[in-house]
Amino acid sequence: MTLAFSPVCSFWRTSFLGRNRASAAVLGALLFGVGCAHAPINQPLAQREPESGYRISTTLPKDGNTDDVFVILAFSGGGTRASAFSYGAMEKLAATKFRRGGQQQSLLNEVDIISSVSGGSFTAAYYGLHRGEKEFAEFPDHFLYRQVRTALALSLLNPINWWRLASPYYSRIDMAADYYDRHVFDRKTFGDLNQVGQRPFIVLNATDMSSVSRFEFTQDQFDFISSDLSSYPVARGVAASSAFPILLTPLTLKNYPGYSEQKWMQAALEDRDRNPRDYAYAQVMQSYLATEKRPYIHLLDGGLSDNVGLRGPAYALFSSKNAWSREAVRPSVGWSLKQLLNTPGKIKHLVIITVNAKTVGEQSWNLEAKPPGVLAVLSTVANGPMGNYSDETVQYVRDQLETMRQLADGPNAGEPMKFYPIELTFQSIASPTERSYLNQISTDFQIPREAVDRLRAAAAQLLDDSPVFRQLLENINGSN
Amino acid sequence: MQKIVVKFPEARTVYSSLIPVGSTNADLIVEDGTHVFTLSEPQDYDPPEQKVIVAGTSAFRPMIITFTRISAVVARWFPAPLADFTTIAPRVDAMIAHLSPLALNWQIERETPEKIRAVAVLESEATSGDTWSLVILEKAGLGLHRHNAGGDYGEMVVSLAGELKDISALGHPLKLGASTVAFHGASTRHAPSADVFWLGLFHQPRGITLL
Repeated sequence: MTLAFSPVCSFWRTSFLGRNRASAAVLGALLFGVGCAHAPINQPLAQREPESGYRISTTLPKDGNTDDVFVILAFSGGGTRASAFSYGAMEKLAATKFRRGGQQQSLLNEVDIISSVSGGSFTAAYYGLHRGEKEFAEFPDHFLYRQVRTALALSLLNPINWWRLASPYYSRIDMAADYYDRHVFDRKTFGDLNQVGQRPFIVLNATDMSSVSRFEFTQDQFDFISSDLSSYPVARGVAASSAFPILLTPLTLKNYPGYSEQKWMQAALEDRDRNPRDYAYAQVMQSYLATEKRPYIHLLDGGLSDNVGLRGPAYALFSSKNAWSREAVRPSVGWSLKQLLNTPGKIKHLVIITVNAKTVGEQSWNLEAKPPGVLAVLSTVANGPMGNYSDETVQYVRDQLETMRQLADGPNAGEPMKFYPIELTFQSIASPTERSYLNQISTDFQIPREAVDRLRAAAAQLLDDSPVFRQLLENINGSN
Repeated sequence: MQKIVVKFPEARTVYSSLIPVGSTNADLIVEDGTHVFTLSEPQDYDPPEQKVIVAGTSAFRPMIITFTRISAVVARWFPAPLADFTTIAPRVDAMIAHLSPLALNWQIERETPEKIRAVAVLESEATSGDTWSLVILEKAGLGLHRHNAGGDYGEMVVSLAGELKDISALGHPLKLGASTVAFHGASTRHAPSADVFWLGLFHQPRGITLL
């Protein structure tokens, strides 16, 4: 665990320690633990370099991945239930082969973007760091079967953590991040993720507590807080993405000055009535530039702003006004997903697979005359709006794809791009017994081994059963 | 989402607020709302940018946004044989003789026998102030002036022959050689000049105010 010191601690060390060494040693030991334990701080960005850092524009299609089959995966929250369900979907994609240029190609290799929240972020980040078939096969032992909740609870019994947690600069989320850093992500940073230099682009989403908006761990986003993502531990991105309110504390980032308003923001800020979505997004991004008002950014679970992880890709697909879009500073060329979509023949098949581990259960309070208790109400307040918003997001993406399909028609229309929106949910499982079993798996970072295995199998089965997925396979096998 | 086509005589990248969104002359699907369209280099198109609110389009009724090549702007005023200035001596009298078929009404001012300035108004619209003019400078400059507010830009300068000393939009010194274009924003001010010789076309959509 990296420990840093607050300015108060630095002051104490320089002004007090020199005068009274004996008593300072005792007091210092106390302060070291109580007041000075500090979680790792995100570093300032020395110089903005649009050609480097962990960005979608620098994450290239290589080693058989091409843009003609453009695959986006969105992983929902839901603790280990979501991690296992999304892992099952990826296993199925890895096992699904198609022919291109006479060679067998895995569909997993065609994945271009994985956007995730909360539990889904463990799978996404792990795959980002361990793309080899054998390495990724170790994920269940590294995380899914692990008793994470128990391990975190035991960490609370460690006296060293008592001292750390007494510091205002070290909290439960930092303890969890430290655990993930050591036991799941091998102390890898986003710089390590960037070293891979190829698709898929992994987008870990958290929620900015002030604006209750999506905050992603990409350099595209970190530009807005003038911070260098490359030295930041991946585990902390995952921890922020899964910092479920109250159970875990928010994760804090330092917001550094230096970034300036982008042209697209100026245009979006004129569109409050014409395009409220882009307007609201630009407003949030603008708020990071006011560093004197927001020197710190506090992050909560990504599920609070988008519990299916679809919003980031949707913004990039349907608008040029987003953080992934890179302005062109002449004579260099910029970048945007919009350009990719608007280039005829570039993307032939656009596949969006949402792996949604949302549960729908029978509520016991429906059988009772007395009002539901506080916990039941809190659970509804916390999960109800998220669930509704997730459904709306999935529908929004479907609607926008349909609009794109309709607009693409016309006198100049060439071969139309084919869209494959697929949502994997427990509600689509054919077997009532299996559906009921999966719907009863709690949102927890510790679920039975059997549950993990059945979730993995369910995701694979759902893809097999999906008519849209079957159509995709038929089309890409037929066109190659 | 909306459908647009950005027209230009050749394939160029189309930028919306400096974000690349596709190519000219192809169907582009963009988000509703405000877009500031520009094209990739060279900056030989007019206007330099177009701020457009994109709305109300359909698959068969895209919004058309047209950029014109600057050479087309020049061709509007000069028939092809007259637009070749390379063989003409860099002197005011020689250039006026070359352009005599246009029967322009030249206003010639001589600060000294060597410092000569000649201006011919090609077109002027009194209400808006929109003015096209042809200018020849021989070791002379134009007086300090401000470009009136309004319009897509304050002034477009198309350099046809020689070299003009000017300032950029950011206030940096600038030299405009033959076949280059510069745009000045509305309400900006400058006093361009030629050390030796310069011939060029000015377009001021809202006119100028001499200072």
